[in-house]
Amino acid sequence: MRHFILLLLVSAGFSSCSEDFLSQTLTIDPPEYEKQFVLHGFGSNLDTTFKISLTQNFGILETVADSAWAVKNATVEIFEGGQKLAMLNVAPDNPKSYQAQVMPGFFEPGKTYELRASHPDFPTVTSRQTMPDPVDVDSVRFRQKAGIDPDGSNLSAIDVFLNDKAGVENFYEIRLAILTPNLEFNYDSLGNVIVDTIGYSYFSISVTDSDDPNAQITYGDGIVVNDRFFDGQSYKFVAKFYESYGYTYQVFMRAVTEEYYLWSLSAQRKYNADDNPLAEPVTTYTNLDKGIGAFGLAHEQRFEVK
Amino acid sequence: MKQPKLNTNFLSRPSPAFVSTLFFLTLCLCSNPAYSQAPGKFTVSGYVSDASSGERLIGATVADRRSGQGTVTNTYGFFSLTLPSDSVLLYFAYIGYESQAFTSFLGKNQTLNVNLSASAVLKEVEIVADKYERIEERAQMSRIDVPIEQIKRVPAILGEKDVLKALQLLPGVASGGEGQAGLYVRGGSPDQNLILLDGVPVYNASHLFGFFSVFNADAIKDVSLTKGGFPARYGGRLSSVVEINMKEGNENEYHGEGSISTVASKVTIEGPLQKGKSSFIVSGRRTYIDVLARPLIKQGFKSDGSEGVAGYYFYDLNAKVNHRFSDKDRLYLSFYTGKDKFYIDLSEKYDYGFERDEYTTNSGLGWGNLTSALRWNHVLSPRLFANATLTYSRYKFDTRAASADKEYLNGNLTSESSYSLHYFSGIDDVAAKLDFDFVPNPQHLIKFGTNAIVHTFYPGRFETEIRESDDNTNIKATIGQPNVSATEMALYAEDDWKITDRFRVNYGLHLSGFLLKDNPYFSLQPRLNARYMLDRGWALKGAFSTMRQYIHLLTNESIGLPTDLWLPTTGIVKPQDSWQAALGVAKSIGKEYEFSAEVYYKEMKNVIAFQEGASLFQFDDWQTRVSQGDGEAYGLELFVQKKKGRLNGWVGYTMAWAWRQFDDINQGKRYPYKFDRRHDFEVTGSYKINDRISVAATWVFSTGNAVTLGTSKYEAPSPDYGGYYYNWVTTHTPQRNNYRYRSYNRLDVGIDFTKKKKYWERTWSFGAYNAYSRKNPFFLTLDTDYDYVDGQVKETTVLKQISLFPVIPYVSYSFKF
Repeated sequence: MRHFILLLLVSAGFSSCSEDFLSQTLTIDPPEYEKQFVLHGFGSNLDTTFKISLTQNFGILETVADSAWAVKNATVEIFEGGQKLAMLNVAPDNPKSYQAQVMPGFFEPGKTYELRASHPDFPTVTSRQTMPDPVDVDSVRFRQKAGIDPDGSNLSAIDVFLNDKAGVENFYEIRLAILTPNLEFNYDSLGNVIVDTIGYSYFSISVTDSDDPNAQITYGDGIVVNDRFFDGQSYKFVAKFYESYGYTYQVFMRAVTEEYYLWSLSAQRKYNADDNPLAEPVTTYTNLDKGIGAFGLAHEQRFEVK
Repeated sequence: MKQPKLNTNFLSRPSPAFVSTLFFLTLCLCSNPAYSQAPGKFTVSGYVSDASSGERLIGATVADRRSGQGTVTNTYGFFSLTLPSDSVLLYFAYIGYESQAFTSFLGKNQTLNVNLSASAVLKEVEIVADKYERIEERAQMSRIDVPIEQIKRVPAILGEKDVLKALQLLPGVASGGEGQAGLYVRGGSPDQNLILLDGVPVYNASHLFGFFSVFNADAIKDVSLTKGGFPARYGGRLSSVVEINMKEGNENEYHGEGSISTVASKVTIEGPLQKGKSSFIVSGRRTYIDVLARPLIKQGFKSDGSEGVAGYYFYDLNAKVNHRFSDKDRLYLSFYTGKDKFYIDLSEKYDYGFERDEYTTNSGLGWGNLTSALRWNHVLSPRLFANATLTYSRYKFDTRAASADKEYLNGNLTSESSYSLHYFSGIDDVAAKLDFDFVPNPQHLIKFGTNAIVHTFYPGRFETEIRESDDNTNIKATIGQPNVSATEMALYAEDDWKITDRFRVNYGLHLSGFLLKDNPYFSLQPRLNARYMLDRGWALKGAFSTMRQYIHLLTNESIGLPTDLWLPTTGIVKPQDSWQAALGVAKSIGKEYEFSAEVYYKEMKNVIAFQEGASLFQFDDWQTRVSQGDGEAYGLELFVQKKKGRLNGWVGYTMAWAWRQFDDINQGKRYPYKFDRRHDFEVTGSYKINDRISVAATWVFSTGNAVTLGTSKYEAPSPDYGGYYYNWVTTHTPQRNNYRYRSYNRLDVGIDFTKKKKYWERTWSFGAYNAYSRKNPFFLTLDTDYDYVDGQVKETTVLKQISLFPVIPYVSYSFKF
């Protein structure tokens, strides 16, 4: 018995010395997936060009060239009340984008729009959105000193005073930009420099915080809140950002759809979690039938404050 | 998930009338003429003990052969049997011990303390004594008693016998993953287990990230797991109660045992303090890899030009004393402390002639439990037994990092700076309990009592200090959540009632309350277990119980990190509730086998989980990082156990489903719980070939864990003014826990060689964990493989499964005297 056990132990010892026996990694097959459209379409009442991003997904192990993401020859249409309003075509400057020229006010409050994309190689995706009513804004103001963040950096803020409509669930988003003049430098006949303003450019500002704990940062550096805690009341929506002054600020005050709200929050969580192995997994929201991404609408008003 | 649900709202905030219900019930029970001592009846009561050690015997049978009435001893070895005034033939039995019988005429109440001797004949062949009431006898279902001797024979990783690892082999219990000590009982989460060591909750039962549990098997007397059909005396957790009782110590002779294994050594000493009256037991365990590796580590640092030490160890210390003041009074004092510690201390010196720099760093990571209990047993009357308990329990996690830099010029200190960081979290409990066993007659065993726990939560706080002499900087800052105190209390009453020979019920009520500032919560929880004896020894059993849990655990379920945070119910985070129903059959097959089959259904409300994207290592208010939702679990469990004989062990099989649903996770859709395992099979057994050699083996198989894995990737555009930016490729996960690890299976084997010497006994143990080196999944990762093709490097992205343990052999040496 003793000899048998000794033999067994020695055999186990030898067999456990082989590299494969002790190797602790195993290459496994990737999960199966369905080829799908990846569609992100966000429209507003101010659009003169309605643009969507339309790409495709690939397996997690595939190597993808930048140009391969685009989908050629897709049919992309937008409908309202069963009637086709426009067909979107590939944008001349970006093969991943489809667009259609529209008049401002193309998306009207209360109307429901259906976006549809089809292609023989992909399941057709459809999604519906109802355009929200405009935000009832009382006033907008800038505060240079609006507290400090946990790192001790000074914050400024934009305060939007609004009146919430009772009985319906509303979702509000603030996005911010600095409006800077595009300057042209010329010389007069005496050799003096002449500065001309030939237009303005937006530079986005990242919103970092709010006074309301229910407000959350969105994917795209805005901040959103829903009205469940102030339904039908006046509300001060605060968007804080790292202190700056001496600029003209462009405030994009938007009433957004619930689907946009859910997508933008989940996309931001996903973005934050992707490089953190200890973060809980995130499933990004979609309102597309058989696709990845989202179709969302916003009723937008723009304010300039100094 | 939207199943029809039991409306238990009416139980959540009982009126003051409800608050007094249990008192009323108890009074009714005690004053009911059926429970009062009838004329012409007398009570015989006392303790049943082991003759050699004086250890009380739990579950010993006491029966009057003439009237056919009987009972079993309670947790403290106490029994009470009320019989008609007549001649009686009292029979005391405990399998593995020689039975004793007494005849007398019962003309008055009598006290009878009985010492049973281990059977010399049986001892030759018995490996494990069956200490317990037969499975078909008791009304309670979903409870499994595992003899500690059986646990000690289960092969274990590195030879460290482990109570919790053995419990993971029972049906209805899933382990967290490779090497983990967590228990996932009937679809519940690890915070839903009440783990009691001598009646005191243990909050973190793991050493070394869960690879070992904190319970030293040498100091343990008794282990039981209740996973459903909870009697009214239990409360405070949704999914299970693990009761672990420490040995009391031999009150007649000194004995000791110990072992030396590849990772740890342990020693246990027990003996009388005052012979026949009081005894003690002390047991300690410590790992020593840090001690053995210290010269190598020092040399390693030295070769890098620095001096220092680094290491890891854990230790446990169990101690218990008890003293018998009289036949009616006995006092127990038990204590446990255990700690894990990582440390690194380093110093570096740089000499540049007239300039010199000294740099030191000291870092440590420590966590541990401390529990203590003072218990007083008092026999108030032959039919009323009381146990009063005061307990203190603490779990603490503590990490420190400090560094200092000193600069000298010509021997004079010119500059000094230091940085320190201290993080700590934990929970403290101070509790008082009063429990009564009332045995009015052989048909009823009534238990009632009350308890109160004052919890103090330390939800995590950072303290930092920065000093720099150059600019006279001296900064002290504290970030984190303030401590929170809350009081949890309970009242309960239950009656184990033998209605007829065939029909027996255990019914009761448990009232609990939680007081936290302005947020009081109350809950009334009905409990019922019923048994009906069918023909041929089969018992049909059913159970229904509701449970409430007021404290929550924020944890990373992948690794047993010591950063687990225990947190209270608040105004925002509600208590967890559950109800569970079970139906089953049980039967003893012959004298050696027990068989049970159960189906169960459990619903849980307000179970807690991190929100999507949230992480344990965030310092904002924890309440903003959690979600509360519903859980659902159902399944079938089969269990065959053999507790005695040369061959003993068990076979268990579970087929189960476990689901979760949260409004803000997985887009509100129901998804499988991470530890949803369709099939779970385990067999463990040991065989005593002869007095010198015994072998043991365990084989487990289970469906792989459900994990979240991206199935495809895509470019996620960021909407910008009038266009889209593409700066991020991410993965698409269709739903939470959408992917299954491959199945888990493992074989552990062990062999013991025992030799009796003149004054002592020694055992050499050899074995292997994961004997056929199965690559069981620990986690998945995307990796890049590099191949050389025609002189070119070709990169390929691959999906790899990482496993933790290949075959791990072990050897240990143990002794007893």
